[in-house]
Amino acid sequence: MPAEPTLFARIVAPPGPGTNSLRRALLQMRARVAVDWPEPDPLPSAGDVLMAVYAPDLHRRVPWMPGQAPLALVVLIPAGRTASAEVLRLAGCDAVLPHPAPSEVVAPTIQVARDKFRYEGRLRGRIDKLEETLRSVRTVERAKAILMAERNMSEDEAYALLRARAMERCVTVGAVATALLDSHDILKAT
Amino acid sequence: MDGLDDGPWRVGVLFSNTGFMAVIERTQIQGTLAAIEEINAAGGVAGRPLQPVIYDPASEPANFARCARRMMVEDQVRSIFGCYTSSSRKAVLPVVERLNGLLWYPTVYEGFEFSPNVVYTGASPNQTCVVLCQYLMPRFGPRFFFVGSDYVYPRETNRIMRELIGANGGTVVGERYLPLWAPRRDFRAAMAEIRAAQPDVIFSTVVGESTTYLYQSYADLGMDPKVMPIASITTTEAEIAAMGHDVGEGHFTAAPYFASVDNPRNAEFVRRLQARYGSDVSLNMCFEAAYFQVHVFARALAEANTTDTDLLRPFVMRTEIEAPQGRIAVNPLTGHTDLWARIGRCNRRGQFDLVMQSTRALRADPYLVGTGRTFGECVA
Repeated sequence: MPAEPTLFARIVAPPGPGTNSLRRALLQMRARVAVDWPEPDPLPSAGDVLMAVYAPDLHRRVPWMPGQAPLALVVLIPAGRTASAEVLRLAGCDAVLPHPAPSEVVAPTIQVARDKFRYEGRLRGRIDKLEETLRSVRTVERAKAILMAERNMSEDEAYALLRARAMERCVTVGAVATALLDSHDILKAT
Repeated sequence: MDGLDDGPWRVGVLFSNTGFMAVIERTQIQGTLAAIEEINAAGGVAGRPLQPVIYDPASEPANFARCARRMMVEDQVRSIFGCYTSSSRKAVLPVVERLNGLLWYPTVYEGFEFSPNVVYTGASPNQTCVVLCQYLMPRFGPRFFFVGSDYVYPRETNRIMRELIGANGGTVVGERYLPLWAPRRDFRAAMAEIRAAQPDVIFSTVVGESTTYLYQSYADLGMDPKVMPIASITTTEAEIAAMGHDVGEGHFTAAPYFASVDNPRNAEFVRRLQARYGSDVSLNMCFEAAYFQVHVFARALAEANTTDTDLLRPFVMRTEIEAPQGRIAVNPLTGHTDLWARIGRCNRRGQFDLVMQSTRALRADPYLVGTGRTFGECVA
């Protein structure tokens, strides 16, 4: 069974007991940990999870475009401090933790944040793929119609042929259909 | 909770005032600001004026994303009126989706998209490409040459055009894409190539400043629009003014709106804007869509009394207004707008003579689900 890749956690918080106990909890999860302080501006974007201490301008220091975050963001809220829900929303926060955090909630919070973050990534990928499929459905329909007319095939046979050619070439059925239509147009035009 | 405030309603205005798309996007800035001015002169919405927050993304998609983010993060804007190219819309999309904003997009585009964070007020392919093919093929012939700017909108539009032409017995005899910033000499070479292929119609999806180069190269080679016209869904009165009226004469454009539309609402619109901006103001489909969508926004805002996207959008989705093009409605099924279909032929004065128009607004069909493949099945 392949080993789970090591989690790379970035902490952006001032040194102190809270940050030390957070670091220890992460190391117990066998994570690789880097602590950045003084507070870098912009915030780091390499790694799997960024744990940044709350600040009223946090949303302005997030370096990525909204909707294109490269890692999960967990915001650490210092004890006794009030965090603005609007700042957390605009920063694209995936979870919050009190700072210092009880060690037993660190691992589950990070797991929930990463799980949600990766799920959003999969949904975005699925939407991209669906949009492409929707566009190519009509191309595939036309390619099938050409095969049915010119090779006297049934609809199922025409689709099976397109699919077989796609499998052989390791491309999508849509790409095979586009190639077929292009060559058909060229022959018609000459 | 802006519904409880008494300050102005902040709205974003995000079109290029500089760069190679400025010719057309400036008309959208002007249309947006003209509507804001009108609404404010009439007392604003619920007694509060609209306050535009304006940035210039300078024709660069990455700047559109940065400016949209700045509007939403720094300026507390929820609704943004903006974007011409599909590349800029695609750049802004993740920003408005993640931060739950509303992009009002007043530009004809290639369809096949639906985001709950966009209100699409420009034409979909069934309102333009279908009617254009239907009109041109019987009159000029079945052989089309595609020439376009090299980005997502022309390639996707041509995918649809190729299907329509093929299903109706026509052929595509060539396809050529040039960079958005291509110099004039590249268009001379492309036009010579097009002439050699002898199509019946040149279908152009060239946009921005290079539209001028395309049409001027055509004129320089002495080609005749009566025999082999250029047909487009993006060349408006603004591009014709930039290229020269004589250069544009005889070519075709399909659009929901031309300044020459003959109805009382448009006569009043043209009169008022010419009085405000001078008689050479470029009224075109981009200006008109940018203009009427602000009125749709204001109508919905008056009911919702908040710019919060979740609360405002349901009111937008059932709004109908009398636009300069005629009565239009935002279709709640698709978030796209039911618009009129028209074909104009450019005359010597730089205006379009209408050669065909629908009798009502056509239902937007961005995924071409209800639009048949052959003209006989088309709703137009």
